[in-house]
Amino acid sequence: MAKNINTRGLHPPKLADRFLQWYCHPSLLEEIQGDLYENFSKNVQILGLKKARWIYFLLVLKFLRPSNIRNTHPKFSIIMWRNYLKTALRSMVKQKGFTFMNILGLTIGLTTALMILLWIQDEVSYDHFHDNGANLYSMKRNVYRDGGQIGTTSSIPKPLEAELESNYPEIESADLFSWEENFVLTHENTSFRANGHYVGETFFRNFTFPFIAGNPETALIDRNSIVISDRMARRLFGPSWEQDGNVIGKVIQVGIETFRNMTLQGVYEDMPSNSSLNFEFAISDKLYLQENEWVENWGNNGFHMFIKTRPDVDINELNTKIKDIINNHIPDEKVELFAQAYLDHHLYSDYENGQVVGGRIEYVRIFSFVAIFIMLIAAINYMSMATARSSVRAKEVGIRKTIGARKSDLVSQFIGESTITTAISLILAILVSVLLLPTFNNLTNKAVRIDWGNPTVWLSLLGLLFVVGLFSGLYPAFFLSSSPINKILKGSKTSKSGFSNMRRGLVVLQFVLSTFLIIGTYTCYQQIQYIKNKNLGFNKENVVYFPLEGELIQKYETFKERALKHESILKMTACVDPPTAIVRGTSGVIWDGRDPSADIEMAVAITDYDYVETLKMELLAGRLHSKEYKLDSANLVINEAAARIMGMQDPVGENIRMWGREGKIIGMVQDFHFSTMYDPIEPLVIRLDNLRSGSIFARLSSEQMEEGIGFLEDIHKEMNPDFPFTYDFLDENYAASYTSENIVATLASYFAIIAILISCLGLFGLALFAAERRYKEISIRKVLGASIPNIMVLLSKEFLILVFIAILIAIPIAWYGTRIWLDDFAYRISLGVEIFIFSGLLTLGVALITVCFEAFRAALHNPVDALKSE
Amino acid sequence: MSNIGTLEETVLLLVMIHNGNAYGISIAEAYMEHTGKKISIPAIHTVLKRLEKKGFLKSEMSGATAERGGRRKRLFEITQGGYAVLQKVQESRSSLWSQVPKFNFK
Repeated sequence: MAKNINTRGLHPPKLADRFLQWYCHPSLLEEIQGDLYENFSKNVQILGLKKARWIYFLLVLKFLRPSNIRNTHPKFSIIMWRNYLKTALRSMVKQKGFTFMNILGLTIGLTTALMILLWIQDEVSYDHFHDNGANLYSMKRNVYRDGGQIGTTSSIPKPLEAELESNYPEIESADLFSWEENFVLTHENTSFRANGHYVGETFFRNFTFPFIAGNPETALIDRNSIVISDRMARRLFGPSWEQDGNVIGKVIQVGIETFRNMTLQGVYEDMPSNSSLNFEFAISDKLYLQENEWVENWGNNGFHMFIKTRPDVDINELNTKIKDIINNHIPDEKVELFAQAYLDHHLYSDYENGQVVGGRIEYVRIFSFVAIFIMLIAAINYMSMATARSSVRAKEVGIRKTIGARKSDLVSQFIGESTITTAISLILAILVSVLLLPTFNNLTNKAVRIDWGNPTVWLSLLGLLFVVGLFSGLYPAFFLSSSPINKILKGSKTSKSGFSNMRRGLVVLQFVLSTFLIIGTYTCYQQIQYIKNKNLGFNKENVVYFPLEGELIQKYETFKERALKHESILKMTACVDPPTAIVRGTSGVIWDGRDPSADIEMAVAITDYDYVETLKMELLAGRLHSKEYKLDSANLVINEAAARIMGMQDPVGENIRMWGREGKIIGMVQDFHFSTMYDPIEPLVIRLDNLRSGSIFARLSSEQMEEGIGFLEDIHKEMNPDFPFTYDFLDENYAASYTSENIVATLASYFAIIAILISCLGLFGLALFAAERRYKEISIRKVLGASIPNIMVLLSKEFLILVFIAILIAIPIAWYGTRIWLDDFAYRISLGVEIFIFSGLLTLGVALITVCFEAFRAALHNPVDALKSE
Repeated sequence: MSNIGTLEETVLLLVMIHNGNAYGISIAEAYMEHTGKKISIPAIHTVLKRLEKKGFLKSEMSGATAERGGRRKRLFEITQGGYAVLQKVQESRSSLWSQVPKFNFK
């Protein structure tokens, strides 16, 4: 036919040709295509191939006129659809068991997917409520360490504020933002402890935290100003403070070392739960700056900073401009300044070598996968059950075909059915989700709710409906509509077990996903147990701690003396950072033989006497700080990691200099975990100092905890009456620092249970069906002498082989997946064989119970019932 | 009797002239040659189809060639009605022309 043109290698564009063949009326196709070919071959000679092809394409489009288009069959007929709906409902009612299992499976799946969607939506919506959100940035710096490592931190030097504001017109304003402070706020006779920050003057102008009272523009101009949250206002002034008259201008005493009078200039609404900033009060940064001149130094990084840019600023350009600002002031270090979008702050907070590598976005990704997995498992259930039952619907299909239904009619009928089932399940799932939301919020520490006024919610629900409906209906639709009519109507069955390869594949896929989730959850759980129970290198049990503040700062020695007289209080110390989270560091430790150009950071524990003793760390060599030695505060105790980095086998007695003071290394303690398990133990020095802030730690005897705490409270009340006595347990504080890992592990375990549950539901349906189809076979076997176990093996063998294959496939995938997660931890469990064996056996066991239950029932049937009818 | 437009009249005349080889492409080419104006093949097809529907043309499929990929042409032929309508147009135009007085443009 088209040989001549093809042999010359000059043929019209295939795509256009196919399009023409698709739309053109068959009776017109020959002449139109003929004319087009002829025209094309002429054009090739005159205008060249490229242009000819282009003209061909245009002409095909120009031929697209109503008169040339093939007849279209009416696509949508109300009467037919009414009939489809009727048959769909009838077949659902007729097979109540299957309908129930389908709807149950889909409801559980959709509920899980909805919950996960809500969780993801909440995570993604973090901080998006700020009107200026897109123009807010958080300043960060990359610090180039020796050995090529790059550390990323959001601590920046204070003088940067003025520099950015005056020299960079792209930046509208910059605000300092202090580390979190924990102060006591007192009004008249009510006192409460709360977390807050020193913030810059324009902070509340740039960030949208609406004020209930006061003016956000001017609230923090005066250096003795304070603004508090609604929650704090209710505590201090009573729940009806808004009605009780003006609170602006009232004096609040804030316990910063000693009490100071500050003027209340505003009350802001409680910060929403999807805000990454969440604090109860804010004080003007001017107060802090006035009293801490050291912050004026470019080498001291004492603050966070947020900036607001003009709306049209290209942040990459700005980042190139500001890159070297800090370096220009302190040339001997290599530091790179940059701004991270504030909206990215929540999800992308992990940096490695100066590049964003992730953060909570990883959990968002993991849970998205889980949602897809579970939906997939639920949809597969529908598919395999619908196709397994195909023989039941086969007669209907045959008759419809005989009467004149085309394949596309049947396909849309069956997809319609799956959509109806999905719609019913979706409605149920929404109801269940609404009921579960409070529990879910409790579990995840969120305030997620379904916002029915939001059109995206409706669109996503509709989207979910169509995707799931279409996906689960597609395969059954094609499967059912493509069997030849004569075979269906003659009543010949396709296969004896009703078990096609496709269905086998689907079962395997379901169990691969379930096993994967089980292994993942189990690993996650083990790792968290490992963290919780890991020997930290000190004893965190039976230790209470409370803030060192107010008069306690002066009277600490007396307080300690009095406390230790009580038999229940065994040891007492004080330190700036809790031993579970030592954040202070310095590069200013010098020892004999240190390479002077090397930049080596060491963590610093600033402590009182008895630090190591109270926390029961292990002294490996030398001695500890003691009052028997004069001038001991210049001497340091180091940890093993520090000794390693100094390259000393026996560090005790070596000279050491820190912050300008000459001293000796007097002792070495065993390495202990003072940071998270994500990081290896860093070098650390323990330094003796007079503390002006921090916490007091007391070790109590385990039998007399309550007496001990009671006694501490008594003397605290007596010696530091202005401050309430609030204490925490060190072990609880440690556990709380892994809250988000805990939540993830709990959620993951629920999801794994749900996945295996839905998979087994599907398996159960298939087993039920297989047993029904082989009813007569079973009966004859029984008559011929098969025992009940024989028949159970017969019925369950095939399923269990599939599950076994699935486990074999899932193990390497899960091994790989969990390795990636575990690699984040510096201290982690090793993936033992037992995890895989345990998970595999669990999956197999649950599947075995499911299948055997049905097989047992089938095997118990009286053969007469099945055989008498023929 | 239906009316007939200028384009239709020209195409009808061209079909008559190319009797025996009047199909989409040949008419389109002849039209361009005669008037100097461009016309697309789909437009010619539409005109031819419309004329056939009005009964001025009849057609049959024949004359497959290699450059058409072996596809046949739809060859058009004028009908009696078509001829009559052309004649009528021509007569009415001649009669009008005969009434035009002599002009002398400067």
